[in-house]
Amino acid sequence: MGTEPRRISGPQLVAALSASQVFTLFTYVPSRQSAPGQVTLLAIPLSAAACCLLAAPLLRMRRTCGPDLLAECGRLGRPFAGAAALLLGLFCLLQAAGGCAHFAFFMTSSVYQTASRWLFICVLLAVGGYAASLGAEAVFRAGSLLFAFLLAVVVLMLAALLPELHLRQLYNPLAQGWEPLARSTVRSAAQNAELVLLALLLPRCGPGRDGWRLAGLLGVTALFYELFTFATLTVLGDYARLRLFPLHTLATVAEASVLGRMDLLHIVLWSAVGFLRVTLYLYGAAVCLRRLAGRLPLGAAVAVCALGAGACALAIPRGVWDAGSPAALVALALLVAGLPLAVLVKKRLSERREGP
Amino acid sequence: MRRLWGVLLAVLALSGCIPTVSLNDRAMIRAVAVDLLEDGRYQVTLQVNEAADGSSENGGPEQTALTETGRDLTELLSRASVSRGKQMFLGSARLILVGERLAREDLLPALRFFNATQQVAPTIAVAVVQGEAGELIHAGEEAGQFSADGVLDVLHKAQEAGYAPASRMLDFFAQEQSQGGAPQLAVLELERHEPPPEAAQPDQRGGAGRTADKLRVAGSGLFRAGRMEAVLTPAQTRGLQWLGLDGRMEATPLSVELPPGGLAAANAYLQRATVRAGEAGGLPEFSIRLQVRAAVLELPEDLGPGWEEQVAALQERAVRREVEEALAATAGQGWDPCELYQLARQQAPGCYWGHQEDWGEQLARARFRVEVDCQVIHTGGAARRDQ
Repeated sequence: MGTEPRRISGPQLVAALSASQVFTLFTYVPSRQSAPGQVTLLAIPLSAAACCLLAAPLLRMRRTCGPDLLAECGRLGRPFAGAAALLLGLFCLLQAAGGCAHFAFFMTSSVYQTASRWLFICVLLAVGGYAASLGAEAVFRAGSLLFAFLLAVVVLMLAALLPELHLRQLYNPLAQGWEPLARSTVRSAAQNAELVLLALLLPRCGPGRDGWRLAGLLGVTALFYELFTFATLTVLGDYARLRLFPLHTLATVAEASVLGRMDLLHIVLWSAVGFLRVTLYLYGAAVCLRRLAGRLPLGAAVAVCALGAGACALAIPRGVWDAGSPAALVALALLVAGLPLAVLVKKRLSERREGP
Repeated sequence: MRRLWGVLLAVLALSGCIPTVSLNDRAMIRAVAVDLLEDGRYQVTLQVNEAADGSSENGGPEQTALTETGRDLTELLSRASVSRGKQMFLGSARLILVGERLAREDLLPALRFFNATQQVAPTIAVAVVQGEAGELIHAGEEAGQFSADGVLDVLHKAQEAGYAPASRMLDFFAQEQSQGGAPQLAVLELERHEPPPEAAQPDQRGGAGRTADKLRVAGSGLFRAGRMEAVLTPAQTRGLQWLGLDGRMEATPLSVELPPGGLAAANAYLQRATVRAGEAGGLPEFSIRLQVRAAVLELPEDLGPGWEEQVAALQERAVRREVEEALAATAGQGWDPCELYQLARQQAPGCYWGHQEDWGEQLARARFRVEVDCQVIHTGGAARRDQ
C-alpha cells in the first residue's frame, strides 16, 4: 500500500471536494419547517461568504506559520496535537459514516426497498476503503473524473427541465422577514463540511493560491446548490415538500428525447458521489489516525477507520443524517477556524515573549 | 493482489446480490382505474401488458384488464399480483383514471398511494372519468383507441386545443400543497354507441378492434381538500388556457358569426399572454393582455375589403368573453386554478401576504382587465380576398 503522500493539483482538490459536497445537497429533505426555496437562493451566497470568513484564520496560518494544520498543532504541545488529530479524525469518521448511512437509506427507500441497509454500508465502505488506501493521488484523480461526469449530468438535466420551469414561483426572499434568511444561511453554512477536508489536504497541493482554492470550492459548490435549488423551486414548487428526495424527483421529471427519464442517471450519480465522499473522508480520517498512531501503514489506518465508520453508520437511526444542524456548524467552526486561531495566537504570544 | 481484490469487490458490487425479477415474471401496468364503490371499498381495474409467451396473435405483449376490489390499494395490488402470478410493476404506468364518485368523495388517499409508490413517475397523467373509470379500461380491451396510449393521445390533443388542463399528478399535488391554488384535472366522458358489425372485429395487427364508442374531454374538475366540487365546461377550461400560464395550448379552433350571416372559422394561436398583478384599494387587480393570431380557413364568399379587421374585432370579442366567463366561474367563486396567487405574491405582495389563508375571498373580490389583440394571418393556400 502506498504510504508516501503525493502531490495533487489545486483544480483536482477543488473538483473532488466540490463533487463530494454535492452529496449533502442530494440528501436534502424539505419540510414545512424548512425555509422556502426563494430564501435559500439568497442564503447560499451568504453562507459561502460566511464560510470564507470562517476559513480566513486557516489561510493566514498557512501563510505565516506553516502549511500543515496537524503539524502546526504539534507545535502547541503533544496533548493539543493529539486532541486536534482526534477531533479532526472523528469529524471525518462521522462524515464517512453519515455518507454511508444516507446512501444506504436512499438505496433502500428509492431503489431496492427489500434490500438490507447493512449490505450497502458494507459494499460502499469496502470499495471506498480500497480507493482511499490507494492514496491521495488516485483518489483525487478519480474525483476529478467524477466532477466532469457530474457537470455533464447537471447540464443535461437542467436542459431537459427547461420546458418545465415556472418563474412565477419566485418572489422577494425577504417577504417573510429576516429570520428565515438567517436560519437558512446558518443551515447552508453548516453543510460545508468539506472545509475540514480542505484544511487537512491543502498541504498535499503545495504552497500558494490558497485563496483561489477556497474561493473555487465555495464558488463551485454554491453554483451547484443555486442551480439545483432554482430547478427544484421552479419545476416542483410546493410538490417538493411531499418527496423524500426532491432531486431524485427532479431527475424523474427531466426527460430528454433520447435518454427518456433521467432518474437512472441520477442513481448512478448518487452512487458515484457517495463513493467519492466516503473515500475522501476515510482518507481524511486515516491521515489523522496516522498522526495519532505513528507508523501505521495507510491501508491499515483506512481499514480501522472503515470499521469505525461502519459501526457508526449502522448506529445512525433510520440512516438519516442532518448535515445542516447548528451542532455541525459549531464543529465546523471549531475545526476550521478554532484550531488555526489557536496556532496563530500561540505564535503571536511566542513572538511577543521573544521580543523584537 | 491489490488489483485482484479490486476486481472481486467490483464483481460483488455489480453482479447483484439483490434478487432480480425477470421480465416474464412482471406484469407491466399501463393504466390504473380507481373507483369507489357504494360500500366504501375501492375497485381497481388495471390495464396490464405481459411479456408474450408466443400465444398472442401478433407476438407482442398481451394486453389484459384485471379488476380487484378491496379496502386499500396496497392490498388490491398485492391481490392482483397473486391472482396473476406476476409482480405488478407500476414503473411503466402512464395514466391514472379516477371514477367520478371517488373524485367527489375524496381523491387524496388514493392519489397519495401512487405518490408514495416510488415506481410511479410524478408526471403521470391523472384524469377523472364520468361514471366508472374501470369501464374505460374494459373498453380498451375491446378497442385499441381506449388503451392507455389512446386515452393519452386524446388528452394531449385536448390540451393542445386548450380544452383540458395539465392533468398530471405533479401539478395536482403542487397546487394541493400550495396556499391558494386549486388543483384541476381533466374530466373524460365515454360515450357508448352500438358498433357497426364489421368495425367491432379485431383488426389485422391482432390488437383490439375499433368501436363506435367515443371518448371526449368533458372539461376540467376543480378540487378543494381532495374533493371535486366544480366542473368547468371545455369552453371555460379554454378561457383559462388563454392566460397562457399553463403553456400547453397550441392551435385552437375559433369561429365567429359574421353580421351579414355566415361563419369565419380559424385556427387561433396564442402568440403572447401577459398577466400583471397589481393592487387597487387593498384588493388584487389583474391586467391581462393577449395577442392572438388566427389563420382563417373558412369564410363566406361575398366579403368585401376590410373583412380582416371585421373578423379580428369579432374574434377579440369572442376571446375576451371566453376569458371573462372562465374567470367569473373560477376566480369569481374563490377558485384559483391558474395560480394567480403566485403573480400576486411576486408583483403585488401587499395584497397577498396576510391573506394567504383567505386568498379565495380576496380573489373573489379582485378586478380583472382583459385586453385582446387579434390579427388575421394568411396561410399559403388562401388567396387574398381584397384583390
